[in-house]
Parts: sequence; C-alpha cells; structure tokens
Amino acid sequence: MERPGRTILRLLGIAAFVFLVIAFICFMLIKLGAAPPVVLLGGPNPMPEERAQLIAEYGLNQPAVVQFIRYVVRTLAGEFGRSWQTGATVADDLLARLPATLELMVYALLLGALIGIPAGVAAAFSRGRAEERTARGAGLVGAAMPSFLLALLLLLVFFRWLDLSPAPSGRLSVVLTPPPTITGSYFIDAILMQDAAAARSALGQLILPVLTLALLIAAQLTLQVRTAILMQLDTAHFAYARAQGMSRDMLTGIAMRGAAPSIWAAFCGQCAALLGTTAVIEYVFAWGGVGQYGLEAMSRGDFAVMQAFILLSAALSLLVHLMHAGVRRVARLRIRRA
Amino acid sequence: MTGRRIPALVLGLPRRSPAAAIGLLIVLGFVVAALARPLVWPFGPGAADASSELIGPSLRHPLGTDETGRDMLARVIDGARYAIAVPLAALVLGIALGTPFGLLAGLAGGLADRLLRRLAQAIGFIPPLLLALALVAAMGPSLRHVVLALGVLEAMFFARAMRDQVRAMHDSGFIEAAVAMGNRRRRLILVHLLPNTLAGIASEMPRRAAWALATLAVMGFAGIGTAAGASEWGAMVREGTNAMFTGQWWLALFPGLALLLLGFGLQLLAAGIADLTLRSPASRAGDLAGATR
Repeated sequence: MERPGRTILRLLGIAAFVFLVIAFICFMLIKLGAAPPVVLLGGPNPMPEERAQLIAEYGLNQPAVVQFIRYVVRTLAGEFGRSWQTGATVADDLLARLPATLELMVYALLLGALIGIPAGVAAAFSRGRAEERTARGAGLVGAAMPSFLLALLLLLVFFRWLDLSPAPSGRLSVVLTPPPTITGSYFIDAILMQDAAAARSALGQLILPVLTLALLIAAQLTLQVRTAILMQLDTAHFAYARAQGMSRDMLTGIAMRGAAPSIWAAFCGQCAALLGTTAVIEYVFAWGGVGQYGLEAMSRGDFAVMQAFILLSAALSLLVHLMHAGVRRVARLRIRRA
Repeated sequence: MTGRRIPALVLGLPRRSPAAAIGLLIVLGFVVAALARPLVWPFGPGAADASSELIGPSLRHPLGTDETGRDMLARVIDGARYAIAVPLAALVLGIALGTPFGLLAGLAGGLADRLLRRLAQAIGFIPPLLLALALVAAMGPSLRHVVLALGVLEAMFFARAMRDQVRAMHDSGFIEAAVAMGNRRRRLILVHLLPNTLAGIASEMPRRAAWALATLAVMGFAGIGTAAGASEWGAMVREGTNAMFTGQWWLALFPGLALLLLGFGLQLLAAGIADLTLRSPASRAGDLAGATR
C-alpha cells in the first residue's frame, strides 16, 4: 500500500535537492567569471551608487557561504536581479518574453510529433525496404543538422530566393501593432480580436521558425519511434497477432499500444531539451523570446540574466519530467485496473 | 569485442555494416583533408587577397572567397582542425574525468551510488547545450574553456555510462564467480571489470563526439567561445549570415554544410555500431536513450 503523505514528502525532498543543486550551479557561474562580481552583475561601468547597492543586495563583501544563502533566498522570493543591458528586472524581462517562446515551442512540438511519429512507425513497418532506409537516413541527417543551418537554409530558399516568406524580424510585421494579450500567442489573439491583417502577419512570421524546430524534432522522433516499434515487432504477442492474420491497421494499433510508453518518453525528452534549440532558432529569426534573451546575455556577459535563464530552463524540464511521470503513473493505474 | 583483431574488424566493416563504414570514411576524409591541405592546396586560410574579394564559387576558388579575399575552401578545411580536435579533446577529458567516478559509484553501490545518481539527475535538468554555453560564457571566451566545458559535460555522461555497465556486470554472475575464486579487488577491477566496459564506452564515442561538435558550432554561431576571425565552422556561419541575404550565400553555406557532413558521418558511425552491438531486441533500448540534443 502506498501512503500518499510519504510520497509527497519524498517528492518535496527531491525537489528541494534538485533546486539546491541547480541554484548552486547558477551561483557558481559568477564565481567562475574572470571579472569581479560587481562588473558581471552591474555591467562594464557600474556607477558608484549602483556598485554600493549591488554589494549590499548580494552581500558581495561577505563570505561565499553567506552569498550563496542570500542567492537562494532571493531566488525563492522571485528576485533575479537586474539586467544591465535592458535596465529592467530580469523577472519582468522573462515574463514579457515567455509567451513568444512558448508559442514557438508548442506549435513546433505539435508539428514535430505529427511528422515524426508516423514516419517512425512507417520506417519500422517497412523494415529492410527502401522506405525504411529513406526515413532512417532522413532521421540521421536531421540528427546531424546544425539547428542554425536548417533555419538559414529555409530562409535562403523561402525568403531570399522564392520570396514566399517574410524577413526574419520577429513575431509580427513591423508596421502592425501587436494584438492585446489574451493567450500570449499573437496568432490566436489576433484571431480572437478579429484582426485579419495581424493574424496573417503573425502566421507568416511563425511558419519558418516553427517548421525549422518541427523538422529537427521530427528527425529525432523518427529514429526513436522506429526503435520503439521495432522492439514491439519482435515480441511474442505481436507475432501471435500477425499469425492470426490481422489487418495492417490492427497490427499497427497493437504495436503502437505496446510502444506508447517509449514514444511518450521520447516526446517528453524532446520537450525537455527544446529550450536550447529554440534559443538558437529565436536568435536567427530575431524572435524576441526568452531564448534569444538568454543567448544574447551569454554572449555579452549579463550574468543576472544568465543565472535566471539557466534556472528557467531547468524549471521547464523539471515540469516536463513531472508531466512524464504523472501520465505514466495514471496509465499504469489504468492497466492495473483493467 | 569478441576477441576479433582490429584489422579484421575494420576490413570486414563495409560488409557487416555499410553505414558504419561510410561514416568512418567521412570522418577520416576530414582528418586527411585537414592534414594534407597545406601540401596540395595553393591557398592558405589566412592569405588575404585584395584582388579577389567575395568571388562566387569558381574553378580557382571552388567554395568562393570571403570579404578579404581569403579562399573559402582553405578556411573550411582549416575549420576541420577545430571540428576534430575540440570534440576529441572533450572526449578524452570526459572519459578521464568521468569513468573513475562511474567505476567507484558502480562498485560502491548503496548510498554513495544513489547520491551521485541523484546529483547527476539534478544537473541533468539543465539542457546540456545551455549548460555548456553558460559555462563558457561564465569562464570567458577561449578554446581551453570550450574544451573544459564540453569535457565536464561529457564526463557526466561517461560517468553514468560506466556506472551502469559496472552495475549490470556486478549483477551478472561472472563477477560473483571471480570473487568466489578468490581474486583480489585490484585484479577483479583491472582484469574482469575494466576490459569488459571498453566496448560499451567506445561504442558511445561517435555519438558523444557528434554532440560536442554540434555544441561547439552553436557556441561559435552565438558568439560565445572561440575568438573572432577563427575559422571555426559555427563562427564562420555567423560571420556569413548577413551576406547570405545580400547575395553572397557561399560564405555561410559551405562551413554549415561541412558541419552537417561531419556530423552525419559521426551519426552514421554511431547508428552502424548500434546495429552491430545491439542485436538483441531488449538491448535496443540503448538506442532510445541515446538520441540527445
């Protein structure tokens, strides 16, 4: 018998441990820095009063242990400091940019799964034939494809040569005003506000970055789903089903059901690592999301932003991990009842 | 390895796994090109030439020239030195740092093993690409820091791979037999454990090298890491990006394609090795866990 109280306590303990480890890494980023922390946090030329304020805020004149404890407490309170590039607090900057990133990631994941899962299933079922080699080869090329190269190739073809796509200049044509925030997705918000021009522009801007990310996701999913299905094709119950002369569709269903946990795990794995790739794609398309913000902070040494960005990326994959575990748990309960 | 000699293994590769053979050929091709370029190609990667700026691909300059008239073929081949040396150094560092930890954790088991595993799991919540970028950004741009950051992340991977192998062997009976026969601990590790982990560790190397290569390229592209003007492929793509939209597409395209080709070679090699070593359906699970970005 499981005791829910103990499970929750254990989960909380693990969460606290994970948070401390990640906070420690973020804290160490400043200690690794070649410049004094005041410069890393306050920019190349902090004013004397800014300097004094930073030293007081972070306790920079105190021992490292005290600094770390202060950092943990501040982070738990949602204070991530100020970006010396934008001048705003990092928390505000991140919140303002998060919808752009989520919009990109959600559409890309949906499209990627829509391409990758059927391709992987088809590759597995055509074992040893040309279709399999094609799908697997495409998957390997996609796995080797540098994310920025795919983005640039698509831009070269569809923007520069065919002129079908708008310039990589963010989420909306510069002459339009963004729709009021309802869901955070420009495209959906524009539709809700019945703003046809904004909706068309938002969709146009979305297509290439979403396609880039989706193809990268699909390539990996194809390989992973193929492997998961192949393992099902070798099981005894599948051989029995085939021997009974079931139709191709029913056989696919049986293999899919068996492979579902692996496919779900592969999909969640893609979600968890996605922010890294998304950051690069945002950078190419000047998307203005948290990824581009974080990447630019890294290349300019804006340490407060860097720390918060790493924390955010870990929080996202922790959420995905919980989602993965939760669904698996529910599915297992259903199997036990059945 | 089933006691097969190395030459026989290499000569038999095209028949047993065409994918692995092609992959190996691509990787070796880049190594040979990087080594032979000064001997056979008339242009150097740093030789600016004011009379031939921004020329498109031609017979004289098959990949064109850049804005200071440098030959792009020479620069792309020069970039192979980074693309080969940096991942290789990261792998060496990662194996040297990671496998001892994995070995100790696997042997010790119990609390130490569980603690290390939890620690690795916690760090693993940060996407590896972003952690590598942040480490280099924090330490400051230099090739040594790039290798160090990549090596530390590879070490985490190899520690876990080693630990899993040792644990699996621990439970598999022949170690128990070796203990029962009165082998000393030292001999147990050196003769019975370590040699049997070699194949597993080696078979992961192409995929890990591909990861290091891709991460190195993103560092170059995002302007984190290698110094400006270096002929590292990611940095070359970054420098050529604007020119791509004004008509000089070859500046960014060819270094990017070189990245793709070498990465594809490594992926082919990894897939071929997986096909050769993971014949049994149950162990194909390794393939599932292996694909990372």
